[in-house]
Amino acid sequence: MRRVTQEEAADSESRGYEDREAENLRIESEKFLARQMEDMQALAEEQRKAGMLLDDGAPVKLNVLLNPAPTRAEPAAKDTKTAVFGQEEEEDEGIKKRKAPLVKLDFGPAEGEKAKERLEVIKQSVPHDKESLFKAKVRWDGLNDVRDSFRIDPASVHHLLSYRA
Amino acid sequence: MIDRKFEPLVKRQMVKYLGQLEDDDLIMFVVEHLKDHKAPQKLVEGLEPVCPSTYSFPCAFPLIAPCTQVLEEEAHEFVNSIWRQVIFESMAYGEGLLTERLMVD
Repeated sequence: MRRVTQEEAADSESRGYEDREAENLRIESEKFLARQMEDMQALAEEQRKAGMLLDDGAPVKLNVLLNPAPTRAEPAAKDTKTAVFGQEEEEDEGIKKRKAPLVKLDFGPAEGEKAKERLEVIKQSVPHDKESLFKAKVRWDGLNDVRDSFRIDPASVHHLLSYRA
Repeated sequence: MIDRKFEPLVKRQMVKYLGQLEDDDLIMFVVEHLKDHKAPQKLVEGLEPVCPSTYSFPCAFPLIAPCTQVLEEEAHEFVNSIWRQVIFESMAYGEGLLTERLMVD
């Protein structure tokens, strides 16, 4: 009987200790997450002011996931994840923005190469047999250039030359 | 483009397919045909009656030396070679590409 009481007391003490520990852990975790959020927001704000968004915050975000948060702290962790996710998207946008001019710089020569390659493909696709060749659509507007459109009728040339004499 | 690119091509192909003739009238006939946006089949038909004695078109002496025809096969091959360039230019233009000096063959 005495042993049972002792055991119950020990159990109760142990449960109390567990509860206190869990509570402490939850509070600590919340504090940590709140501090981290503040830091990240401050960093993001600073970067936004400086006109650039770097993904330096990303490793910090991983710490949140690796942190052995207790079961009760899970909702808070989820909130943080969402917030971090949003920020990650912003950072992605930032990365895209930085990449855009680089692509543009390479655009010129790449386009020239692409055009050459495309012309080669077109060359290969021009039909050889009379049937398909004669049926293919002719873009006469592409064959005429400015000089052609200002062609002078030979009779007019003759007329003009007769005035010269 | 026709004067700059097609006229030399017509001259080259004329030598290749129709023998060593560089007849200005015949060249002009082909060039004008292109400038008038006429069909390739008409070009084949127009090429066939060539006077063998003078290689001029149209035949200068139809009564003295009756016109024969350029071999049909050669006329077809000649027009094919010209038309391949026409279609190449058309396809490139359709895709907004400049062919510059590029020739299909």
